[in-house]
Amino acid sequence: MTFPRNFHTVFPRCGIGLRAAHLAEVMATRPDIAWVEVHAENYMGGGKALRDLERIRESYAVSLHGVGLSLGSVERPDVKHLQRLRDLIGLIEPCLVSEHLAWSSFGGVYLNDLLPIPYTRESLDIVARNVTIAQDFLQRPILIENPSAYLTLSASTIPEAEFLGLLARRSGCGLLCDVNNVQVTCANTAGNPCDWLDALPAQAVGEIHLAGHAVNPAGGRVVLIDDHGSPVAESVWALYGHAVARFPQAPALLEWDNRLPALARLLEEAALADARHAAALGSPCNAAA
Amino acid sequence: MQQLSALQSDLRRAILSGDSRASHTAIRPLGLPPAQRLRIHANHYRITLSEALAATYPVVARLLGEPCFAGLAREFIQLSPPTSPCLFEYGGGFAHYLDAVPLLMELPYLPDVARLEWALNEARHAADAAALPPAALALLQDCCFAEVVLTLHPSSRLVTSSYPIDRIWRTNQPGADPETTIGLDEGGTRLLIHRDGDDDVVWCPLSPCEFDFLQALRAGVPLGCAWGAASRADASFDGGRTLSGLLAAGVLADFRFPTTQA
Repeated sequence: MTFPRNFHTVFPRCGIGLRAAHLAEVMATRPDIAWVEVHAENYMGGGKALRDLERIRESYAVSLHGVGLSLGSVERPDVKHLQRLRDLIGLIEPCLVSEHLAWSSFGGVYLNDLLPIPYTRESLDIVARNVTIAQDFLQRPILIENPSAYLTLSASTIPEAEFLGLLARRSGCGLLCDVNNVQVTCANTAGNPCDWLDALPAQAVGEIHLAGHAVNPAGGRVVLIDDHGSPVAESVWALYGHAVARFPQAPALLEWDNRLPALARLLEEAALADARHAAALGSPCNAAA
Repeated sequence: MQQLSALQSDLRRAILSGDSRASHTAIRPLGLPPAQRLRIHANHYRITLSEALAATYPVVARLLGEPCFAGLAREFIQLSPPTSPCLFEYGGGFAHYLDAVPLLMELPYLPDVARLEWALNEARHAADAAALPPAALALLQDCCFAEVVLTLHPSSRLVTSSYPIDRIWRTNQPGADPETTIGLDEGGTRLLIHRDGDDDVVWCPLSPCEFDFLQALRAGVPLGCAWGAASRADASFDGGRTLSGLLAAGVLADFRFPTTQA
């Protein structure tokens, strides 16, 4: 399996995470959106949701972003879930398929969260095995996204970005660099976000995520919560500039899930990302922006 | 795989039961106690599932009021954690759970309203299937007609209640007349729920014998037997009209003969 490296030439502008509340408006008005990403699990049934996604696909490139494969679980990926994802891929023919470096299923229970794994040799063996199973089953490479961390597991011996690089090398997967998650993780676990980005193997990065986070008080300090409920924070924009310089080939995508604004506002935020992208590369567009 | 397995088992317990003690040593405090860090994940789990239940059961939530629904949802989540990563599949046991809540004796219709909302949710997300063309059954010869086993569309659901749950549901929709009163003694409901040709979820009321007829078809009873039983139960049962209605509505997806090998 070879991983295409030229996504940014295909999607030179920032796409948006497309949520159910905006589907009707997008179908009716067909706005100029570079590309869209949807959560795969929301379209694993039939009926209207799937019909709508097929109609969206007629006008836009669609990326399928999974949250339920639980590739960080010590257990192997659920074959039934892989089949549902494969069926959806067959129907939608997505431009990208992505998942997370996290786990959510264990012992038959789905914990509906992206839970952390310790970054160890043992975990690397398990996740590389699971990613390989998934890619073989889906017959395509997938992108693996760095999660938001709220805690650091004592057992970890490998820095997260290095772990992702090793995973990409071992399994042939690409990486989805969520810049907001980098900021959240580093703020919550005393890391340096620029060092984090510098440690990621640039050639493996096939997509960048942007989103807003909440800043919550906790025990006399603050915890950043990756809630996708606000505009992109200034700290994340700054980090995005750094990411663009390192991964100029990776297309960006804006996620907004909670307190969802009007579609026009979402597209404005995506346009800000385009301006930041141009500025980071020092292109002439910068002067105009 | 010892280490990761033990850790995931401990974290699972921390999230499901709130008992995070076993995981504390696995987490570096870094200025915030491990229990507090784990609570971020436990809260996310509980809040997102609670939102999923409220989205699937909006009328139940409205009838109970926000604080009461939140409390019951919390207990249900604790008793019935999800098994599927698709959240539209979460919460099928909620009506059964409500059956046994003593606090709800004054709202005896509430579990049935939950059954209706679950059926609507299942119908909305059920797998796609082409409807049987209305002319398909006309091709069957008389001798085969009684033997045929009909397959209902994957979206079709049958819901029955001794309360007027369809009217209760309608009067609790946004924009409904808040002055409407419903007598709980005005009679029960039997409903067929399914998706129409535009994939909108619709329902239609059924007579007792129509309901039994459809339940028999759903259970794989050959058409002749189901028809005969419905006619015996109610002499006015018009099987031909019922069948053509089902065909026209797209409720039938396929047919087969039980004796022939596929």
